[in-house]
Amino acid sequence: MKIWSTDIGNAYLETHTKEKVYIIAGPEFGYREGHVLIVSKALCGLHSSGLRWSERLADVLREMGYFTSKCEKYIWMRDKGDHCEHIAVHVDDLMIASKDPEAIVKILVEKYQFKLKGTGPTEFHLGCDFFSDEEGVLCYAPKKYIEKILENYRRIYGTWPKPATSPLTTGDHPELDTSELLNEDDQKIYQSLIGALQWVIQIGCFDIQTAVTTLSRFRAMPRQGHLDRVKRIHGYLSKMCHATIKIRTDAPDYSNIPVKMYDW
Amino acid sequence: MDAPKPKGKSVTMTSFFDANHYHDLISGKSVTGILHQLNKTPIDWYSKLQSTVETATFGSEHIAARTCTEQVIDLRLTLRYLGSPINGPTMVLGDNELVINSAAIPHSKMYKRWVALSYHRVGYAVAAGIINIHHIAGKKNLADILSKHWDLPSVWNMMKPLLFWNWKLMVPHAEGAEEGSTIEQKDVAELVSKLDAKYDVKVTAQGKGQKSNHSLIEGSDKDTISSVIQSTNQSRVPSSRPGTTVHPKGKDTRLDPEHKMGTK
Repeated sequence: MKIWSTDIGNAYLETHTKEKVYIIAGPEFGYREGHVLIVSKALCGLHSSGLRWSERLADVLREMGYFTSKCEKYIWMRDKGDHCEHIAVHVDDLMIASKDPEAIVKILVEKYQFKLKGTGPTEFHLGCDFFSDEEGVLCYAPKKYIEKILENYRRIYGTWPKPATSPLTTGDHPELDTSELLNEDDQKIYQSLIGALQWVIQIGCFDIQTAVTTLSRFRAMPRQGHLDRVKRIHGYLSKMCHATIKIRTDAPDYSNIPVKMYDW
Repeated sequence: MDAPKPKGKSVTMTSFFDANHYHDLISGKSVTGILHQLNKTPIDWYSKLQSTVETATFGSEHIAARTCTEQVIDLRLTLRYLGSPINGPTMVLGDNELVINSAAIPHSKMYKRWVALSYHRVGYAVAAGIINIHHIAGKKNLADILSKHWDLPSVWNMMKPLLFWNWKLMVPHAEGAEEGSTIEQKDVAELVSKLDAKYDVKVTAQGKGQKSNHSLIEGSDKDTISSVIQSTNQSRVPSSRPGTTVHPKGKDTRLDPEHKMGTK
């Protein structure tokens, strides 16, 4: 089984609009200035662009013999006899799990004329780095994303966060904080920092989840003390930036656990 | 059933749950922490303030057990529709013996209706063969990471095999360590080696030797799951009750000043 990723270039230009959209040409159109132009391809910026694109991709995948999973409509599956192929779709990012991803990619490029970018074994997908360790076991780590948010932190505050060994101190109670309320600008910073941290949790760093969810509650009315705590979490991430999840497919052994039968 | 035919290697599911009672001092609510594993890979995590106030740890743990059960049912359905075969019932592990004991057997007496309903939800899943519920020592419960504000020494044994199995990256000049990293890594290395020294002391004290890095993961894995699961009717060890963490003699790391290093 191989795991491949690919990105469909100019995704939104692959499909046509359903609505009539027109523009009045500006000076950049040269001699056509002032003409009324009708837009035929679903450009970015329309409310329906995303929908049109997903419909188009769905048609293509359906034609190739895929069907969406009943539990997760953005996961497409195809029965290949001895195994099942999966394609996970995130707007224009595809992740393909198959024994022969080359064939799928070939059809997408040759038959459907998609301009694919970054095709190959998954290395980076949705903010996560994918790699194999020395034993060839697939691992993923949000390292690049952590570096990005630390860089962002430095842009805002001018310094790196102070390293910490835990997201929050034990027995901390941010709800009891009585420091002054943040001004509007700091509130926005607080909200965007929390937003970035929530994505880090999604892609692997569950060690900070309790701290972040606890602090998320104050997004609407954060205080200085809460912002300081968010800074501390960044400090923790800077210190423990190597968090990596290893896809370990060996099953745990529960054979020594006694099975109790009860008459329910 | 319209689910696809399961194909390929089957997975063993394990879920850990924990609750931190009275997490929020203002509302009095508790926090639920849940970690789901497929084989030995963590795949989903959850940490959230409970929506109701519980007056006893027992109640909040029951609610965590119920939330966990519901997520397990959902996850099993998802896997089914993705065409992945599952090995038997999901192993659900919690560290509150009272909850485990009452949930695993019929005719437990509940005095509060809402707790009783949580009990029935879990009990139903046990009776239906969806889950197997077992007790695990508090310090081996991985969901601990997701339910409270911890300090590194108290969760390091659990986190290391999960997220920081590549901890060698944190040691400067070690194989694979990155040169010129933007983040100060030296004190991480110090901390890690200190924790590791402590860990080894602990392990020797318990008479379990662990050698190379790889077998350390293997060994600690057994340690975290299989060998610590006790049958539900085993004599109650007072030290493994929630709230009291067991440390080897004179090794209460919480009181150890050096773990504070870098936290200020």
